[in-house]
Amino acid sequence: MTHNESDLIKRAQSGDTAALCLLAENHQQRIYALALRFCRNHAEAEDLSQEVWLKAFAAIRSFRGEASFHTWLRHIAVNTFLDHKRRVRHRRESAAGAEFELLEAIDGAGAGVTPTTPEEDIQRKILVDRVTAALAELPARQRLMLLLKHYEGMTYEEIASACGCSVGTVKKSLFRTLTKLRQRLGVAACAEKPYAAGSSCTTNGFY
Amino acid sequence: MMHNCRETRSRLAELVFDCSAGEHEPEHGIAEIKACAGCLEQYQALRATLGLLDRGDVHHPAESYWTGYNERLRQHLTALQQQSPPPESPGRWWKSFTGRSIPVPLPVAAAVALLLVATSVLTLRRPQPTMLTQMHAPSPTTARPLPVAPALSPQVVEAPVLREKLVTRIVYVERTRRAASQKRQERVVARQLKGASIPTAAINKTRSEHNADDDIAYFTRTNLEGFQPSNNLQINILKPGSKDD
Repeated sequence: MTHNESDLIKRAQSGDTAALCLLAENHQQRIYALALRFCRNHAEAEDLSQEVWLKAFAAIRSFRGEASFHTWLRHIAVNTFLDHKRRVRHRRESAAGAEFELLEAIDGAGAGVTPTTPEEDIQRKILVDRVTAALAELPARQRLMLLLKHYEGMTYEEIASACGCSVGTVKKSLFRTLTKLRQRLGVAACAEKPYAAGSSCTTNGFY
Repeated sequence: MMHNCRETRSRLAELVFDCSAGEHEPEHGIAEIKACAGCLEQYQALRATLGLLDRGDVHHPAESYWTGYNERLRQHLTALQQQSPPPESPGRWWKSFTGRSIPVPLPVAAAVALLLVATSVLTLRRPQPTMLTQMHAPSPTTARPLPVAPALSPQVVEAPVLREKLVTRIVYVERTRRAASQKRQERVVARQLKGASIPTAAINKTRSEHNADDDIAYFTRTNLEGFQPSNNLQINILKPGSKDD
């Protein structure tokens, strides 16, 4: 935690919303990314991540600096995601116009990073849809554990603490989740270094 | 060392995640996996699954998106702050309380002040308990309220008799006392009979005969079923040939 961040936290604790907004600027992308991977929908991800910030603002006085601010924030995020359920669905339908505008900006961003051919674009979209569908079939808790381990790089102990279960449960759950994903995505046996680009893994899909 | 598939597979997820996190593959773990074709196949497939997950990851928003995001967050936070302002410290609360002026009509204020004065004067003039009264006063632990007997109305029972004879009946209000008296009476009879060395069977017989004699010889019993004992009981003796007949 930087000196600047601790100052911002103190100001936020005294009710300064501007300070919390500055704090949010430093952490919002990671929280948003986690939310986006969890729900695979930009509108929901924005709702979820903003809810995390609102909860953080309400509970900022309870932050004592024992853990890093991001760890504390991530704990709030995990609880928010698990409580989320289906509340956002109807809100998303009502805000279809806003979502369209949002997706335009996002698609533009994605296209700007790596120039791809239309064929690659289509293949990628199919892959994203398939991964999204496979993840959506997982229970929320299992999905979240997988994301926390794979993308956030949390230890088993940290995940167990955040999700309120034992380390053994986390390990078993992660193994089951991976096995389920493998089945859903139709990943078959492959030769050496399957995770490398251009691997010789055989799948039942286009990719 | 014998290869145990079950044990190895329980650690597969750990190995897969550790490797995907950029850590070097643990030599002993890989050697163990390579010892079994099934375990190796599963390990490779799980790693491929994670790779697929990365390739199928969703696009993240552009930098321009975050400006709008921050603006929306600021609006939400401001709305939240307006809904529930943070709790003020006691010092601030007291300052705001003392600094506030509440318009109160003069007659109301005067009436309240008068009421306060009257209450305090009355409280001061009330006689305080002296040391002597305190000594004589029953202590709260020993002084117990006496049981209050239920107020029962007197009942009149008319018992006709065949012959002019003085009938004495003792009616006890308390059942326990009545039972005690009955026992005492039985003890007296038993003692008397014991003095005459009469066996128990004879005692019972004599007692029953004595009761029967009482009933037949002196008066006709009135059926007193449902009769509730009262504090006062008045028995009117109806003589044969009196004016009441």
